[in-house]
Amino acid sequence: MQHAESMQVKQSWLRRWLFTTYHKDIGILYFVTSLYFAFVAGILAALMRVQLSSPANTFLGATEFNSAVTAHGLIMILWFLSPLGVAFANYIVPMQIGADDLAFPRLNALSYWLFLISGMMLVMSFFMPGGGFGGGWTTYAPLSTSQYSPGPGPSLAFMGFILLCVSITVGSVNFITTILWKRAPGMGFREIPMFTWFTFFTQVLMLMAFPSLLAALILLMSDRLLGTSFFAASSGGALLWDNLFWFFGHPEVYVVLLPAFGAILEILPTFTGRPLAARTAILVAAGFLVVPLSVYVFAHHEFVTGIPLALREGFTITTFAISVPFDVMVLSMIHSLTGGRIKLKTPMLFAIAAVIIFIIGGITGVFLASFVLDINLRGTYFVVAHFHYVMAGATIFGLFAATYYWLPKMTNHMYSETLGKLHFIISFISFNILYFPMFLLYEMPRRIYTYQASTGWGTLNYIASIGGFIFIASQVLFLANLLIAASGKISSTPNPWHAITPEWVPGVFAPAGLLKSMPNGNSDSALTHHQHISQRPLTLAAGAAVTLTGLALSDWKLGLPFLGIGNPFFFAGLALVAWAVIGWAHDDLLGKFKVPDEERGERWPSLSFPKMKLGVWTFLASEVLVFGSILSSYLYVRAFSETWPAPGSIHSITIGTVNTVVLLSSSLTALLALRAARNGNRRGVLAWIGITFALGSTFLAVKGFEWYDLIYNLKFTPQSGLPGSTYFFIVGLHGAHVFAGLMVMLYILRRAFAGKITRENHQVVELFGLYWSFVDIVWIFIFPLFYLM
Amino acid sequence: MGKFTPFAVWAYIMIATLLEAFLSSFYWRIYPMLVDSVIVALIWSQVATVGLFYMHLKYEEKGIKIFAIVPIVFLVALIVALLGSVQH
Repeated sequence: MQHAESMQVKQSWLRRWLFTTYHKDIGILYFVTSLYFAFVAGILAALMRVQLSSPANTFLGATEFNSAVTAHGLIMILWFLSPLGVAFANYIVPMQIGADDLAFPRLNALSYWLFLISGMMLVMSFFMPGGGFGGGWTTYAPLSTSQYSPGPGPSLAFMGFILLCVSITVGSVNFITTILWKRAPGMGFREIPMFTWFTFFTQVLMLMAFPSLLAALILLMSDRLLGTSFFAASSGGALLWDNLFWFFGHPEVYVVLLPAFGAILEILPTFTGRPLAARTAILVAAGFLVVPLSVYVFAHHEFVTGIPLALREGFTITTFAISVPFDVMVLSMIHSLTGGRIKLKTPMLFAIAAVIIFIIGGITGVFLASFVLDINLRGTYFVVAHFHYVMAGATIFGLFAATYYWLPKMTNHMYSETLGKLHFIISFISFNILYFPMFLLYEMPRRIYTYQASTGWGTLNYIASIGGFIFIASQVLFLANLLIAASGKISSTPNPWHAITPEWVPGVFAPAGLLKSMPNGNSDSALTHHQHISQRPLTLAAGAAVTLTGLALSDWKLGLPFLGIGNPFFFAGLALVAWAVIGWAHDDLLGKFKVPDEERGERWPSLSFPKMKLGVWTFLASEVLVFGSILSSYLYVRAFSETWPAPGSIHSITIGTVNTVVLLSSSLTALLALRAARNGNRRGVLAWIGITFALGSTFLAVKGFEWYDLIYNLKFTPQSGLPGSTYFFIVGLHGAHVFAGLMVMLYILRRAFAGKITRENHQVVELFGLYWSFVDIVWIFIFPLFYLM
Repeated sequence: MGKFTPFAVWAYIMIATLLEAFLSSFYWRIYPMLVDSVIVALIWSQVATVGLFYMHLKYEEKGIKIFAIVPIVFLVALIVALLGSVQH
């Protein structure tokens, strides 16, 4: 009996953590997982510091050191710092805006599982034959192509990278829709707390920045697996990668930093007992300004690539300009410390330390903004020190502050203040012992695995390594404090800091008469949220991971053609994806997963349209960036090429035109389907969607025949130089989108047959029409670029 | 949206597509720059037409229009840097 009960509890526990879609559970999962990845990356950092602690050290070889540096950078930035901010966003943002959950709970779970599995793929890549990737976190091409980094290990790492991009896009769509659409009554733009504002900015940046990385990685994998030549050095591939990567890479600095800043801006008023200096609107405007500027500075990472002087000058100016909004924020933080009664509790200590560290990092960044200085300092340990102060230090200390601040909310118990202060003192001192000497090592090149004693770098490296070991060891205190809070040894009041933001004081913003029963953090068990349970996200993420793993392993043959180790993985993964997608659609059809939406709330600027429509438009915004990046890359490589096939010489203009007429006509029929749905005409919906399906299928079939003719008769393949690479890749990617649209149409037809598309309930037809028209717009670009120009 | 607007939009897109194909087939080898320029103009007119009418942007609230414009603002930075570095 007791065994049966314990089994039931065990199953419930497992079920909760595997299938939960509840924002607090997902927040905790993100938190724990990101700490795990920090542990992995921390171990790698320790290995690097041992190696560099003395001259001519042989502790690690060059290959091991390079792999460690690469994985350390990737994991710290993408699997620790970013997701730790997402952990707090998951847990805190819905509470701050008065929502029961995120807009799309299942997508939230999907985002988490993709994040976890993508990280596992990166770690597993180490154990592949030939090892993982060792070309640095920037994965510069052509170093990352199979010519210089062959084998399944790098491929698996890049596939993990691709999955992470998908995870982040899904997450961004969710958070942006949530913050715009699910705010409780009374939560106007003026009332939104700082952390939520900065989470919003972060998510917009993620949505805008990651598509170019996704595009770059897909192009890279196409080079590695299909033999295309986007990143071949002879066609300007190195600079193409630089542009696509840094369009993501520089905003990523702010992606990790802004959540920490948001937390600091919550903590300062709480522990000084006075409002933030500067009006909320000014701070929000400063944060808002960072979003576009962070993209418009990205080419300062390319000062030494030889890009034209005008570009270097332009990006120098924008790089200086981005310091202005940060100056506003930092001055506000400093001024907020005056005139209040400062309580130096652990969160406040870490928040102040984060500001100090950011100032040091920021000032050294101003030197690097000037391309004259940058040419001398780039590639040295001065840059390593700079970005560790700005990106790692300010963020880690800011997120330590956030952890201590919100730990009583997340666990309902207090941590040990003594241990927290000890953690702060040792961490702050050791962090500076670790990184400050690196400023003085401005002549030591980055990414070297050893150096000679005659360089004189030994002493400073030794000091830095000592600091590193102490910093890593001091994190045991942090873990101990987490355990103390989680075990409930020290009791806490519901609002131990006497904070006034809504996660602590539910409904504090609501005007009289609109006070809503806010989520208050006490009903945080997923067992009370049965409607939040779904196995689909985990299954879909696992299926996607297995499929991409199969692709990554596809060039790892067993000596027999078509019997690569990857094939079974690939097909098993596809089957799993299909099962998950069909199951997801089935759940929707039967209404098995329902999350009640708030009936009313503050929804500007999304005043009257439903959240699904907002979500689809947000997704399409990221798609614009994906296709925009790819088509821009096409224009770049074409401009770089001295010759290009004339129109009509390879692709038949007649067939292309007929197929374009077929596809573009399907946008009209999709619109007529929507009209029929709005009129409650079920047969009309069936007929017009059926015709749209037929047109889309015809388009794909013609494309198939075209490809067959090109490959087998004209011998024009993806390996036929850049004209072949660009054609097959871009048209293929568009075709994949058409195929996805066809699958959605099957779902709509199924709904229509079941009588579930009515005058009142026809949203799915409208959303499909948006997607389908977007796919047609992409073709409007592709057709002339390949067939007519 | 008027009853016949979708059909008028469709007709325009078809005419523009056929015009692009005609220009490319018969005039591209003689006036490549001119034909390319006209085709680019036709592309953007088609994109605008589909966006405004088939994606309903003409009739949508300001909030939705922002989502269509913001990514293009970001994309400009990438295009400037990419095409600007071709000279290199």
